[in-house]
Amino acid sequence: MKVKGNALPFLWVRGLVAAAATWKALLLALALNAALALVVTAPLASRLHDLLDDRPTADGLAKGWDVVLGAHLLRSEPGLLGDRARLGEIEQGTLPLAEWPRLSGPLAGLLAAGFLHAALSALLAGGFAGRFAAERERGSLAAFFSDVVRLGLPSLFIGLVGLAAILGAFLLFVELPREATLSPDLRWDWERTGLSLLRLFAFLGAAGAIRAVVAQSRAALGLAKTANPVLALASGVGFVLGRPVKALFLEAAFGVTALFPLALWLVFAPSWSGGDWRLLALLVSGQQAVVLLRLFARTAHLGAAMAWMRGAREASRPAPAKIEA
Amino acid sequence: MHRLKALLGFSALLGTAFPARAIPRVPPVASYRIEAAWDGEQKTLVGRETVTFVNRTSRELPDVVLHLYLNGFRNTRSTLWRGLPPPSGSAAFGFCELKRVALPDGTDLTRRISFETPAGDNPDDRTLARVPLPRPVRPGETLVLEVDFESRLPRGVLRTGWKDDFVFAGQWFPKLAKATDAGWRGRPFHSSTEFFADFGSYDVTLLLPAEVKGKVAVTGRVVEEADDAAERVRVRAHAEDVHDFAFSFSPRFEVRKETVAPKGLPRVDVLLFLQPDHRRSRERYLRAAREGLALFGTWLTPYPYPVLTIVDPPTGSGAEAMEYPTLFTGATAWLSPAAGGEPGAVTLHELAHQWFQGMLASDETSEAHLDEGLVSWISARATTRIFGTPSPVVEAFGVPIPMRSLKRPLPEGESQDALDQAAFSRSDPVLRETWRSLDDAAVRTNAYSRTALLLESVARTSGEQPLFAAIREYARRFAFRHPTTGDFLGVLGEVAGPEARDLVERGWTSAGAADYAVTRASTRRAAPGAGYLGEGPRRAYRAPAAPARSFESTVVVQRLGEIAWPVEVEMRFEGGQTVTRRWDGRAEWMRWRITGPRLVSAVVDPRRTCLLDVNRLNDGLRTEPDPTVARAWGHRLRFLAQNLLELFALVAVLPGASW
Repeated sequence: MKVKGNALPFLWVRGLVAAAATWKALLLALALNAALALVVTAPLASRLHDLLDDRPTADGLAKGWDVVLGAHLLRSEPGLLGDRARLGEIEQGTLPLAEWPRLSGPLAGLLAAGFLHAALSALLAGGFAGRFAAERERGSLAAFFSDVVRLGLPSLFIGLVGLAAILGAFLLFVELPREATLSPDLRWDWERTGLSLLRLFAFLGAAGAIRAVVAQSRAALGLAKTANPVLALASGVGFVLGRPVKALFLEAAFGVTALFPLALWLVFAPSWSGGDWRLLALLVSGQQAVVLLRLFARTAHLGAAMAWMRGAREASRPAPAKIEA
Repeated sequence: MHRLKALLGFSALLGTAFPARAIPRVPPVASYRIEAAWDGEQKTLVGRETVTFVNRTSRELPDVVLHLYLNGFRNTRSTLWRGLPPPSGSAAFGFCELKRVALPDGTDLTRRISFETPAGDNPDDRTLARVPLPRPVRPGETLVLEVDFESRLPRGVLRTGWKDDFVFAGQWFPKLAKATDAGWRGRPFHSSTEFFADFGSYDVTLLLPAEVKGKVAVTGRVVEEADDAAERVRVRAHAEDVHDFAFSFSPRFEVRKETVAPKGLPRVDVLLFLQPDHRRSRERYLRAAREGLALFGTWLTPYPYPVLTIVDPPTGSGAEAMEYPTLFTGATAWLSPAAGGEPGAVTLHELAHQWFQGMLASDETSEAHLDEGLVSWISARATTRIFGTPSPVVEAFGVPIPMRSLKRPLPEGESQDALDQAAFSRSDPVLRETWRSLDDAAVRTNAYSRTALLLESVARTSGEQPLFAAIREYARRFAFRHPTTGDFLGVLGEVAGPEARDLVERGWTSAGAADYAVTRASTRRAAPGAGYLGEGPRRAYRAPAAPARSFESTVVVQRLGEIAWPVEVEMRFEGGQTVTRRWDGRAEWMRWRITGPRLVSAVVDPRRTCLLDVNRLNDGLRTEPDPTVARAWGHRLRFLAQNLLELFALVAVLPGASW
C-alpha cells in the first residue's frame, strides 16, 4: 500500500504503514521490553511473596492499593521500594535531578534498566531507520539486524545527544524555576498553577522539538550514504528548524497515538486479583498489545519522519532536463 | 436621653452578640480594652490597652507576666526561631515592644520590666516579660494596667502576619500569662506549641485602611464601623467569655453571611471571609460549618456563641488552619477537588476547636493532646459523616489530582505518621509537656495523630457511645474551666468505664508502640495418646498409632510492642469454621491449642480495634502460604515497569510522546 503526500494526516498514515511492515522487529522490541521488565521487577516480586504469602492480613491488597495497609507494608519493610525519604521526594516531585543517580533499591534498578532499555531502543532505531530507507525487504529480520549493526551506534550517539538536550531542558524549564513558580509570595493560586503549567508546557515543547530533531536525524541517517551521526544530526536540526510547527504537530500526533491505548487500558481494564488464570491470560495479552501499540506508534513516527524527509528532498531536487525528440 | 438610648441600644447589640450562652461560665479574669492603628507601610500596630485583671487564684501575685508573642520573630536568637526556616529578608521579622506600662494612678512600671527566662532556657528570648508591682494583687482584688505598645507583624508565618493586602493579626498585643494557684503560668513562645490564657471580655477598636470597610473579620462581632479621617475606617469589635482576640482584613475578601439554626440548638450567624480565587470552596466551607455546628452541638454541647467567623486565607499566607475563639482560618486552593475532602475536613477540625480550644481552654503549651487530639478524633468522625471518606490528592505542576480509586479513611489514613513515630523514633510519650518534646514531629504526631488513633481505638474497643458520652460530659463539666489531663481521665473513667480510662492512659504514658503478631500457626494430625496410660493396676502400654482424622493446631500471639491492648484472636479452620478467643493482651505471649478441623489461618485483632498497632501485616499467619496477593502485584508491577521503560525510551532516545 502506497500513500503519497506530505500533509500531516498522510505522514501519519505513511508512518503507520511503514511501521506495520516491520512487525517482526517490533515483536522483538516488545520481547526485549517485557524481558527487561520481568528482570527488573523479579527481586521486588520475590520479596513480596516473602512478605505477603503467609499473611492473611495482606488480603486487602489483592484488588489494588490500600492507603492504610500500604503504609503498614512500607513501615514493616522500609527499604522495600528503596530509601523512603527519597521516595517521598519523588512523590512530591522535589527530588533534584542530581540526586537520581543516588537512588537505591528497586528504584535504582528501574533507573538502570530504563537507561539500558533506552540504549537498546536506540540501537534498534538504527535498524528501523535502515529498513524504512530501503525499498525492499522491509520486513526482513536479517536485513534489520544488518542495519542495526550498520546504523545502531550512530543512532545511539544521536540518542545520547537527544538525552543530554532533554535533561538540559528539564533542568532549565522544570527544575530551576520550580521555587519561583511555587513561591508563597504569589498572590493568587491561579498564578502559581499557571506558572507551574507554563513550566511544564515549556519543557514539553522543548522536549518535543528535541525528539523531532532526533527522529529527523535518524531519518537522515537512514537516507544518507555514510553513517555519519554528526552530519545526520545537522540534517535533522536543519530540517526541523525549517518546519518547526509541522514537526511538533507530527510529534504530538504520534504521542497521542501512543498514549491513547494506554489511557483506554487504565480506564477500562479490570484488575487481576491473583486468582483467575483465564482472566490473567486475557489481561497479559491486552497489556502486551498496549505496549506493542506504544512501540508501534514510536516506530511509526520514525517512518513518518523518513517519508517526510524523502518527500521534501524529492520536491527540492531540480526537475530533469527535457529531452528533445 | 439620647445617650441613654444609645447606651441601651449598644447593650442590646452586645446582648445579641454576647455573652456565651447555654453553658454556665466563670466570671471574667483578664479583660482587655484595646485601641490600635494599623500602618500598612511599616506593618505595625501601634496602640494602647487597658488590662483589667481579677485575681481569682488563692495566692497573692507580686507581679504580672506578659506574653509578647511577636518577639518570637524579633531575631534569629529567639526560642521560636529555632523551629523556623532561615529568614528570607527583613519582612520575616516582627516584634512587640512595650512602650509604657503604668497603673491608672500614673505609677510608671516601665523601668521595672524584665524578661523572663526560665532556668535552662534561652536567655535571648524576649517573648515573656515580668512586671513587678508596687504591691501584690491579693486574691479577689482587681488590677488595672495601662500598656502602650507597638507590634510589627512579620510576613505571614506560624498563624500570624501579612501577605500582600491580606493581614491576619494573631498574638499581636501584650497579653497576660495564665494566673494559677501556683503563680503565673507562661512559657516562652515555642514553634510547636500554642497558647494558654484566662477568659475575659475584649473591646477592641482598630483604625484600618478605608478600603477594608465591611471586610474585617474579628473574634466576637463588629459592633461599630465608621469612617475616620485620613481614609481610614474605625472598627470596633466586642467579645465576651473568650481568652484571645484575633482579627483579619483584606480589601479582596468576599463576605458571605448565613444564619444557621440547627434543630433544637441556638441560632448562629456564620460569616465567611473568602478569597476570590477560592469561590469553588465556598459551599464546602459553609456546609461544613452548618452541619458541623449541628453535629458538634449534639455530640458535645450547643455552640456557646451567637457568631462564628471563618477566614479563608490566601495560599502561602502562613495563617492557614488556625483557631481562635469564635473565629478560625480554613485552608483551600483554587482547584481544590471535592473528592479530597477539603476544605470540609479542615473547617470541621477548626470548628471543633471552638469547643476544645475556645471553650474548654486547656493548656496548649503543656497538654496539647487535650485540644488537638480530641479535635482530630471528633472532627475525623464528623468529616466522614458529612463528606464521606476522602481520596488522597497528589499535586502535579500546581494542579491537584484526586486519586478517586483510593480512599483515605479517617483518622487512620491521615495518622500513619504517629505509627512511624512509635515504630522508629519513640522520643516522647504524649503526656510529656508539649514544649519539652524532642521536635515538631514529636509534638505533631503525639498531640494530633496518636491521640486520634488512640481515641478511635478506645471507641472500637470499649464502645463509641460511652466515649461520646464521656467527652460530652467532659465538655459540659469543664467548659470555661481550663481542664487538665487528670480531669479528662476522671470523667472518662466515671462515664465510659475504667477500661476506657485505662486504655487511654496506656496510650498516653508510653512513647512506644502497640504491635501484636501471630508468630506461630501450625496444624498437624492429632496422634492418639501413646505410652503408659492409666493409673495403678489399670496402667497399660499403648503403642504409637497412626494419626487420627482430627487436627491439633497451635497458635501463638506475641506482644512485640510496649502497649498492651485487649484483642481478639480469630482462628479459621477448613470448612469455614472460625473460633474466636479474647486475650487481655498483657502478657508477652499467649498460646492456644485446639483440636478439630485443620487450621487455615489465625488473625489477631481481626476487627481492627487497636489502630495503634504499628504493623498490621504481622497480625495474621497462614498455615499454608497463599501467593495470590503477591502474584497480583507482580503482574501489576511488570506492566508498570514495561510502560516506564517505554517512557524512558521516549524521553531519552526516541521520538513519540507520552507526557
